[in-house]
Amino acid sequence: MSTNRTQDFAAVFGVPPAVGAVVREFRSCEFSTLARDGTPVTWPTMPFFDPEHRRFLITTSIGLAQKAFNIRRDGRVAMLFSNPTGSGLVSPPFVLVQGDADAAEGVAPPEEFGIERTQLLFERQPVGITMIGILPGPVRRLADWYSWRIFIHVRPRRIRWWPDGDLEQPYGEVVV
Amino acid sequence: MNAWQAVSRELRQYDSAVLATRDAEGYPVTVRCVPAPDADRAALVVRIPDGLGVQAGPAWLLCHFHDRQFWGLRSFGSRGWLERADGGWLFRPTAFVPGMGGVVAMVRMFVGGRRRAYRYLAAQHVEPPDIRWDLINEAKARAKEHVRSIREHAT
Repeated sequence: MSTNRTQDFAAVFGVPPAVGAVVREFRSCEFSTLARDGTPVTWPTMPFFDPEHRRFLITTSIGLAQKAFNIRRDGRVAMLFSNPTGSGLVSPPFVLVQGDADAAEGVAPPEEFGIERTQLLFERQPVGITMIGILPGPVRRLADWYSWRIFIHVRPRRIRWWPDGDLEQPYGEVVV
Repeated sequence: MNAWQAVSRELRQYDSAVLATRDAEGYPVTVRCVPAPDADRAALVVRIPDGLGVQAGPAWLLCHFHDRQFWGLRSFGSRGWLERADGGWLFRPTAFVPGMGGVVAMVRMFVGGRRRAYRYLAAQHVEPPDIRWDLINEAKARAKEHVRSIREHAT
């Protein structure tokens, strides 16, 4: 599985280039799943857009798997891109993607995450490189569970965006 | 300390929040907002744009922060209830949910995460995969090279 940084979310879904830039450059999105009682539960996460399959990949450790359990019960999810810190973008739009997700059973083979995505993760979170370097072997082994991941795929269903991040403006919308 | 007190105290450390609720089709719908505490009602007044089909009902409030290098992570969440009030919306916190930030949260995550991970493996009847250090080390090297080349072009 590989990522293609040149192919854009905007081209795939016919949304403005500024929306594609948000999906490409934002470090995190606020990812919502539905708890058993119907409450949306939202935490920040780092998504990867996969243009070939027209979907996002989100991974979570098997030790932090509640969002995967929620998705296996109810696949309705939302991703909000509203925190531009670190993106380098000036006055980007807020982008809300609602979609349908699935969370594979078991543990994902680490090689399927791909070198390119791991590289991107290190580029965006360089402290990760330092942490791996300074942790002594036994301590690193105690953190092995964090590397055992579940893959979550999100297929966009409805995309909305607010130009300049201004919620008082009318939003744009594409229904997939 | 009740949920309202915990949420209103933590909220002061953030300049905005994300409110999650559901639309008429049952999908989560999320908006960034600047909640205004209303101590008399033990609730937060929130502004939600029109046209999203937001429904009154169970809701969630998230505050989170990361720096430009995607580090210094801190966050908290709150379960609650969203209701109509005075022509606007009111979020009533019912539970405070700690997130990232600080040593205690880090220890809690690692101890609890490891325990849950082994429970997951047992329930799924799978062995943990080997950590692919060869891939991780190659990605590290590529990332360092990429960052170095960007810096060289910038200077």
